[in-house]
Amino acid sequence: MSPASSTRVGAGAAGDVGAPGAPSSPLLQVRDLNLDLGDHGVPILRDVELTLDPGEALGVVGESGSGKSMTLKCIARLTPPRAIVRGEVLVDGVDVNRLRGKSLRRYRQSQVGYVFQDPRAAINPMHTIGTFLLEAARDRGEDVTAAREQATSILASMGITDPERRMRQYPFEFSGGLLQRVMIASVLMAQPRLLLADEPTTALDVTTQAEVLALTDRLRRDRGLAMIFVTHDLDLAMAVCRRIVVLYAGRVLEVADAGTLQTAPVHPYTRGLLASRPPLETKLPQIPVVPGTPVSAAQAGPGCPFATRCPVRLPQCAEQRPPLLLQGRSRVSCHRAEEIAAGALDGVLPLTHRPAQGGGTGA
Amino acid sequence: MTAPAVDPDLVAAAPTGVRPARPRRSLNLGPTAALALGVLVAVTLLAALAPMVAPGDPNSADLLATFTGPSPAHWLGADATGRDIASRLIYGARTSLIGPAVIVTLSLVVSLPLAMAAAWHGGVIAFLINRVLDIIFSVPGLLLAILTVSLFGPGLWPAVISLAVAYLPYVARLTMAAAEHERRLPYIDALSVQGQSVTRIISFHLLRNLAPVIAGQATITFAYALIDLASLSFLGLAVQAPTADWGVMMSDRDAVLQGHPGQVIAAGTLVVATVLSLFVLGSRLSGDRPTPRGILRLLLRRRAQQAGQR
Amino acid sequence: MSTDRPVVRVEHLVKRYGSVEHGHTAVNDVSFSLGEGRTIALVGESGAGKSTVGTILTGLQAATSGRVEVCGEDRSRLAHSARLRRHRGSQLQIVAQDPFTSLDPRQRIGAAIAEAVGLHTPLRQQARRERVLELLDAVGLSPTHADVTPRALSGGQRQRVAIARALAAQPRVIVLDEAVSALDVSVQAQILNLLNDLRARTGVAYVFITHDLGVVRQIADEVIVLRHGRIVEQGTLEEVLDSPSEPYTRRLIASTPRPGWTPASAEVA
Repeated sequence: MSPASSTRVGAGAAGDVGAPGAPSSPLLQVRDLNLDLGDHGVPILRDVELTLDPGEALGVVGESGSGKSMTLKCIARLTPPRAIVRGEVLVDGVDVNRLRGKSLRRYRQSQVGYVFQDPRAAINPMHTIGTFLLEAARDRGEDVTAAREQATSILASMGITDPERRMRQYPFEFSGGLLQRVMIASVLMAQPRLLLADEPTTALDVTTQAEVLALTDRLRRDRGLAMIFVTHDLDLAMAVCRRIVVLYAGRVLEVADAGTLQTAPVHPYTRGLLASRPPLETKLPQIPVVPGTPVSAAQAGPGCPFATRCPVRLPQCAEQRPPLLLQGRSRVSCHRAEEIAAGALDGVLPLTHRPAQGGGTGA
Repeated sequence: MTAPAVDPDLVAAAPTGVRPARPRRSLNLGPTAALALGVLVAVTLLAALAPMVAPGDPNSADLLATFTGPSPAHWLGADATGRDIASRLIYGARTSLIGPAVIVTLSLVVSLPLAMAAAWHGGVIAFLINRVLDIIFSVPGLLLAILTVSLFGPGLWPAVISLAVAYLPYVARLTMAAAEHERRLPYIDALSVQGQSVTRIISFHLLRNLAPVIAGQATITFAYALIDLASLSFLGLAVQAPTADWGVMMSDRDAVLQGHPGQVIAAGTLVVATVLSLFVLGSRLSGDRPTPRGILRLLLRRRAQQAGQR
Repeated sequence: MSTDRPVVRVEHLVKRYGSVEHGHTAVNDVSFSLGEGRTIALVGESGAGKSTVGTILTGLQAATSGRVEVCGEDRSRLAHSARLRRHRGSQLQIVAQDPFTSLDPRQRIGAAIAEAVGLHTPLRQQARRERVLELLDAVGLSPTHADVTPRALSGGQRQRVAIARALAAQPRVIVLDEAVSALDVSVQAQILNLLNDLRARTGVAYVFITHDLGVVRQIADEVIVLRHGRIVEQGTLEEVLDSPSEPYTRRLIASTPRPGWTPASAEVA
């Protein structure tokens, strides 16, 4: 380990480097989003920035306290009471934070769809699935017969057999996986442009998770829907998203393409996260760990929030917050990004402990 | 590729989020609940120290002072028979508070074991306990009190006992629900697997964790009992006329008709202040934030219960 | 499969809720045995019956039929005396899934562990306190943790406490019921390493209940795949994960996310 000569990486290139080769203007831009909650202003999010092109899938990955779900709630304007939101959430150039009354309702009705983690908690158990699916159309005063036809066809396209009968049933007659499909169908009914999915498969079994994700992915592509997929599982995010944002303690630590993240993650936290996932293929004598426990934005110091747990921290890390800068093909917030990218620290920060062969479909 | 062997001790060396603080002992009430607590402490002190704080004897009639307004001799004036209103209010606190206290204690003493038994064993035992409670539920509290009074004659104790019986199912149901929830938590299972005795699990772990909820509910029940007893005294069914009691004082219709509502208003104000303080403190103790709306709901819930009983 | 004298032996275990016609069979004819210092993983999706097997092992629930032996002693029926429960506790302990509800919220960590130590050892106060510190150290916590309530601890730290409390009884077997599932990935790895380390040091055996095959790979010697209460496949870790014979096992494996995985690749299997 040589003491780092910390040269600032391309300080001029701090501009918008999000997605290479995206011709159209972004659908969603989140700039300097800050969120504080409660009477005493507990910090939750700090300077979060995201961009999302139409039809793109973006993964937001983080552990507990990272603020991943709250980021999503800010985009949907579902922040809890006494929340202080600063910064911009631009959808098609319109700041969502300024929407009030009717325009806010219209935004939620037609622009965004929200898929919650636990469908059983998010769907009223006292109404039939049909009532649930047609509620929005009724609310908008649309033709219910047409909406019913649409609902049936969406359910059918989600692999639900006999959708007419299913629409007359109640949520308790559905398994978790089926109910999550119903929730996704209800979101698709409104034909939004942006799908916000908050750990949509965490409550599901693995086999069901794979099915639901495959379906969602297909439907999303068919309809040109953009999606933000919030999850704690980096592998899962890389499987369904083109680009990944890694959040920690309410801050963005790294943004990269899924492929880049898999082969050449830069931030020590991202590397730790990838390495500490117990691999399916090989038994390790010792699983590499990130020491300590995740912190929240409120517990983070003035410097890099990961400094307390970082195996390659420098004295300056706890004091000075590194800016989010382009390093190779990722944007990283780390004082030692350049060294890491050059492979100088691979001894301490293993790239990955798994065999490098891609696509372990197996079986 | 070598995995960085991380010493488990290193993990413990940086225990983030560990506040070496002891468990919070202070209640940290907030201004509203602190004020409520202040009111209750004051009322309780008045009752306890009545012989020392009261300016005079609550029952000695000063016929020259009949219906006089506030004066140095009688701070709050005197009533129809010239008794000192301030002294009567202070002594009245005793009778007005002792009744609800006994009611709450009795219903807790009976309902806690029932609730614990039902929560712990479930099944047939819980079923039987619940059905018995249902039967008691079906008898309206005030009606039971009136019935008792008609059998044993009016007085504080028949009213207190019948209200204690009437309150039993409310207290028992709430405790039971809380205990059933707590009993299902894995830490109780873990203690059972350890081989800990049921009595210790219940008394040391379960009850201790339920204490805030029980305290909150008991406080609110105290308020309801205060209202009910005052109503009964007002109707002349509980505490009897010469005894100083807020309910009795409120029922002095003659004074109002003769244009001297002073003692009625004073007693009524004390009842309202005490009840509101109990509601505020009770909801704070059970973990809610006491809001005007929440307090109103407590009052209305009571009204709804009584309406449902009729 | 196991060594000479198994610490856990389960034979034709059945657990049914409700009546025979209208009831629900949560566990149906499950048999396995677990040797000293070994780890058997019970794998399956929700409703597979894996947790039910766990609670029957702990004696919190009675079996409908079949035989459950821990250290040679029958456990298919409930223990009603505290003495018998204590005796059972010194053989088998449990660590539950949710670190936020598996500890008494008002009891300090030191007191919680001391309580468990007191139940199973005749140690006097001073020796008991030393044993508590020993146990805290064994699970990677510092002595200062003894004075805090669970409120002050993170999920991973609480799970360490739960493990320390289980170890206090010096059990031969610990049932780990989804014990690492609720933890963050970076913390999960710490606990898995700790569990492997403790097993090597103390020779305790684990019944490891989980739905995560990656975790199974890291900790188990033997694997049982359950579905709807029945055993689908049973064998050594390598047999089940590397050359599964049942289509359902293959589907489980194919559905598990890993680098290079896509949801579509699960459908191929």
